[in-house]
Amino acid sequence: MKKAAVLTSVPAGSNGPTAGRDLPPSALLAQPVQHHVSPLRLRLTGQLTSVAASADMDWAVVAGREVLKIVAIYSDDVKEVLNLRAGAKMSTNFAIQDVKWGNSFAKSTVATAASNGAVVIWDLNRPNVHKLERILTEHTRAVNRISFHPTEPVLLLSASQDGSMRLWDLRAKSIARNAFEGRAESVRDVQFSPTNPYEFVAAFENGSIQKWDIRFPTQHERKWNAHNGLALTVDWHPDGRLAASGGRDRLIKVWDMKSESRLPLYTISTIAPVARVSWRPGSDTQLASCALATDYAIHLWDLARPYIANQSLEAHDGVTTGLLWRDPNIIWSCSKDRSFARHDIRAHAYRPLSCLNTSAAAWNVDGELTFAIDERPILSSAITATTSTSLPGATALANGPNTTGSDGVDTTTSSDESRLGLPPPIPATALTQGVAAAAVAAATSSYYPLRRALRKPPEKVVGDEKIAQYKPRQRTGIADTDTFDVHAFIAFATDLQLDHTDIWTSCDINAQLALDLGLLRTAQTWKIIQLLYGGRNPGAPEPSNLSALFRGAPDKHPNHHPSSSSLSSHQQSPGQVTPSAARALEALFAPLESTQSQAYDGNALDVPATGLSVRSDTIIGTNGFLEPQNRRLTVGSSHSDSALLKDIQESADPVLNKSDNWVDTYATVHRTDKFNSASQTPAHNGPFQVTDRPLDLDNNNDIEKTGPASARPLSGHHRQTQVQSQRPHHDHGQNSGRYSDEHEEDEEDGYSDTPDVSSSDSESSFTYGLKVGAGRRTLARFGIGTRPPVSDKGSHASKHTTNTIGRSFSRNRRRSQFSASALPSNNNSSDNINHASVPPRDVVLAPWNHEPVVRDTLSYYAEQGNVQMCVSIILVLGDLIRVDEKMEELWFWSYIDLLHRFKLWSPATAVIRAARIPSVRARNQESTTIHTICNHCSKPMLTSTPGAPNWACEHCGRLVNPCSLCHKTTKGLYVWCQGCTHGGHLACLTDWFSNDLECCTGCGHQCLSRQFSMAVDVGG
Amino acid sequence: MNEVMQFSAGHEDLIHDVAYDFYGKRLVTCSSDQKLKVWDMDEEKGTWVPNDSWKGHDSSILKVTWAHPEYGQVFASCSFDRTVRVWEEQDQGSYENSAETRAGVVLEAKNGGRRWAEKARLADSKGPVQDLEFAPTHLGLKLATTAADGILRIYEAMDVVQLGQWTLMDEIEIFSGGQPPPDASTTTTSGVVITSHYCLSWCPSRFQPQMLLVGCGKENVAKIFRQDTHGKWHPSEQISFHTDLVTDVAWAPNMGRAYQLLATACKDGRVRIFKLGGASSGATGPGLSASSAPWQTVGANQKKSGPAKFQVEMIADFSDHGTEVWRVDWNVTGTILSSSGDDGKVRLWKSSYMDEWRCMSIISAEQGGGGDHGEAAMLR
Repeated sequence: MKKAAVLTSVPAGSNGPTAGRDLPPSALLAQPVQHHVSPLRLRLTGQLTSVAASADMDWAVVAGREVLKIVAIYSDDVKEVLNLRAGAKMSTNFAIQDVKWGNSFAKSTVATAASNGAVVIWDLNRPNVHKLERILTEHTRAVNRISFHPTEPVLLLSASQDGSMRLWDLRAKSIARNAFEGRAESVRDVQFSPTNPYEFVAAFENGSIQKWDIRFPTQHERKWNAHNGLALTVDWHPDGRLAASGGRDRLIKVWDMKSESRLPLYTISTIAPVARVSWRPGSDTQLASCALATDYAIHLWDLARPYIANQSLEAHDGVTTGLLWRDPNIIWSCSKDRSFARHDIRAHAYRPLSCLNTSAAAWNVDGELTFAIDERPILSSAITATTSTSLPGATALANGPNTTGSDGVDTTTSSDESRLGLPPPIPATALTQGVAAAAVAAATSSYYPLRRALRKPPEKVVGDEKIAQYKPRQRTGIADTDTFDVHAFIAFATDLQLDHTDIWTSCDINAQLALDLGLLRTAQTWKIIQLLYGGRNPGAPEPSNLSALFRGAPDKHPNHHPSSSSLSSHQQSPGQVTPSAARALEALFAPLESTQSQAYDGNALDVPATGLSVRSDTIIGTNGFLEPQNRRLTVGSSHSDSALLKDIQESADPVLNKSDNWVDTYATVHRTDKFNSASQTPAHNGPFQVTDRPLDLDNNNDIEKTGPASARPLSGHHRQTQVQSQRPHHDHGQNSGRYSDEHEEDEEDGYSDTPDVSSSDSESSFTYGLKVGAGRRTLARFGIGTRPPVSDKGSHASKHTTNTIGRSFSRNRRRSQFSASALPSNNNSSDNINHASVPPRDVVLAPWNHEPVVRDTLSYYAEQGNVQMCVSIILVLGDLIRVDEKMEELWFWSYIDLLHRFKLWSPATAVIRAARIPSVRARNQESTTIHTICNHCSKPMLTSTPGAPNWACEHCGRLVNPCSLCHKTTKGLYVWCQGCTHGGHLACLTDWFSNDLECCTGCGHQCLSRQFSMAVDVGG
Repeated sequence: MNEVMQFSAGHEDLIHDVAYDFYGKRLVTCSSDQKLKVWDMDEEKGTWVPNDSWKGHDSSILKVTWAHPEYGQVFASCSFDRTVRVWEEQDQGSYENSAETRAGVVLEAKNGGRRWAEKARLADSKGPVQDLEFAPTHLGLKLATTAADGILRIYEAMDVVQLGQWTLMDEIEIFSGGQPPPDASTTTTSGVVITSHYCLSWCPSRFQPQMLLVGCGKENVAKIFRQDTHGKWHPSEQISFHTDLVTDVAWAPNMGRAYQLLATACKDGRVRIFKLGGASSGATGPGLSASSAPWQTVGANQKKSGPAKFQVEMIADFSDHGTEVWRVDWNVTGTILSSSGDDGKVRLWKSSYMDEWRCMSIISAEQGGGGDHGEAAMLR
């Protein structure tokens, strides 16, 4: 009667999956609770070791050391029904190892295996409380596992620690029908074949599994050496062909029981000794396992992807000791945590895969990125949607912004199929079909009869063809992101001149090096550093000495610098020209003096054509400077210095070419400034990254088309086009035109007016022009204003081809500023070039301190991660630059670390030695100890003062390494003959061997061959 | 993006991590197929040749990390099997009597596990070990791990020569809620199990006190852990903004910036970049503060007025990936961030003008090649 009640209650569970299958997947997910069986748990009084289900899967019997109870499982509840131990007087050592419930032909029979070797048969039909029917005590040691015959309800097989298996006919009186001796140590598991009534399989402690035929009790039919160490469990697949075994070696192996092969078909590696395995009903590829220790979870494995558990179920807080499938989705388990539990893997298990990252990436020093990436959009969106209720945008996020919420649900749930089934794409179809078929089977009968009766094996025999293994779709590759110029780094590291005694030369070498490497910005930086700090007279560039410096530069070429002398006098008028401004001018002068001093010479007017052509050259030089691939780079290089120099002097061009034309320049700068403020608006929507390059491109093209010969008219023309193409410049151009006119007048007036006009404004604008580093934003706007918008795209392309990043830095901008101002002023100057030069006398220049700019430069490079530049500049400038000590130390350490990464040990050591920060220098004094011993007595040479070596041994009192010839101690190079070991000073021995071939000690050894002596002669 | 070289590691399941050694000439890959593979750069040919391949763990290997080469050729791996294992390359003589790997084919059985010896196995975790990283070398040979049991563990090698003894210096509960951290999974009210995820990243800076950035699982935040004056670790700054699990954290190498950068990957599909400023005195601004207080003074300050906290500022928040983002990694100079996610793309982020972070380029899986979308983004 009770059973009927149970039967009606259970189908809710078994119908669950079927209903779920019939409904559209979205419905499945929308109402998950309806279709999943809620987790059930029953606490019992003792640890449990085994669980078995009644034939109709309504009841379970759980067994343990102190427990043997029958529980009834309802759809939403589990209740203890019967305590079999109540009436039985069993001693406590009668701990139950295994329990089995008779199949549908013996529904009332329960068998237990005990640790004392007894097999106990219980009859539930007994009317009184004593359900114990009989005790079979033939085993001498614990019985580990028992197995009912699938069709013959009276046949029971037991496997014992005593190494034997016994087949019991329950009709007979307590005598085993057969005993099978495995001769392979203790038997841990035994199970009848689900298809062949005569076969059974057993797992042994020596790691083997054996297949037996009950008709041949003397010898096993087949044997596999399955595991390293104990084989703990074995389970037939319902098809009767495959069997899975688990062992203490943490492996699950799947065997073809019909094959001759001694190798497993599949191997699954788990993280703990495998206590039990159990095939998922209806599935050819999935099986569940639980561990003997360590791992409390139940894992569902898939043979197609043997490395990652398909699903994991944290069912218990202790070791799971027994598990069985109620149906394809529901697992009953018992545990040492004293509980029995029922879980639905669809709802309560999680996918370890979803916790694993599908992508990986790593950078190396070369700027290469190794990556492994995979696509998992659908699955992940499902997870996101189902798990993160706190994220409203999750589905939309997964499906793109245009999908609605309901669409999102559909998408996510459609993937539920793949979640339930298997990793897409390969095995999914086959498997889900399998599961579905099983579910249908479960629906047609009220219980899942797979294990209870012999079934017709599935048509598809898995062993015939290997299950398609999961192949990761992940792509791996190494991308060269081209973000770190290794070649240049190494070249700089090894060849940079870091000597700060001659800054001029060091900077020059470094700039040239950078230029050779095509790193124009770096070269530029070095050049500017050179100009700012180098000075031809070292030690001068203290700010207080600027005026001296300024004077000093012309001093080098006193004959060529009448104008500079006038400048000096001009500077000397107090309050008129500030030192820093003079300094800037000096900077501009410096290159010129080395290249074409005559161009801005007082005689410049005598050679206007020369001056002009040179200037156009230098403009080209600038352009080439910005574009590494520009052939024009070489155009100007016929001059005494590099094209680079000219580049800078180009920026100085308006000033330099007509040193007499100062005012003009300033006026231009000033105008630029005005126009700059006018161009604020376009600057807002324009990217700042693009600097002056488009301009240069234009320049380039124009100038390249025509030869240098036509430079002059062209430059004028170019200016025109430029002006027209730019709104701001238009204005500007007009201005300059006006100003040029003024100049012509001024020229006669001796510039009496113009300086005044400009001086008030140009004071700020000129300073501004030089201190570009300080205010980047403004500068960028400036840059924008000067660039023709048309060439935006082109510049973008070119910008990315260079390894310099689009973002310009202060130095660059500063130059751009110059060129911006230079261009119009050139225009002017070309107009004015024929006019008599009148030195400006009334220019008021604002003080300019260049140190912040240099610091800005350092910060800029640090931001770019280019500590090499930071450290190099600091080393070259030495005490001339002060930066935050902490920061400097960071740069040094970072640079040394980088050098080490490239195995550039020597440069690293050099940097450490050159560093001025004690903690960095100390690094070279760490961890290197040199022990010396006397070469006569082999006693250690102890020195009282470290670093001062002893020349004589304290122990034997003899000289260390005396020269064989002069008998004095050899310091420095010691050469010796490897044949006779005599040697000494290089000079002594060279001298000796220039005449002799034999050893100087008279030992008779002919140290030199004749041939070699000749070589020495030649060398000497 | 110039070129993408195909690099077939030949793993049988997902690769979960790759790691370059200090010099960038050696690569180790780890996978769910439980194998570790070490690759060497053939500098002449410019190709990666297999050095060795062996089964390293009993379950998915999640992360690998190299120790600084001053400790030898040493790396550590962590796995779903709850262990951390430390591997060291062996002298040639000890294994090289078997057939060598020739013609680019890994003879896994031959070399397997012999070239690289397991020096230590750290099995303190009660859940999958999800992340690990060696501390920056100036802190010594230390290894930090996070595991699904919600505990951050810091080990230190007792003998840097033997590497067999690792002392568990600290066990820090990441979970601050007070209740015991869930063991790998928690069942929510709806019956769905979420698995937590913890990740970590050391502060690489030599001039900062020891700090760790930790992704804090289901708290959906990342936190900076610091040591107090008694050597105890405490969570300090909390970095919120996340709406789901933080799947990866990366502390940018600082080569000379006045501030620190952090990046997080999040399951909510976003990559976020944070700027830490004003560490010691609350002085803000990118300038190099003139009062060059060495970090020792910072420590002194901490004694007086509690731990000086960073000001955390989120400077970038990208949703480009659209799906779970799994990884964020900084390049060596800390100027470019790479992120990768379930959309099968690697994106490179770079700071453009005025600390504006932008996508520099995208590497997609379909082509295995690079598509340069960065410029378009910049033009807009």
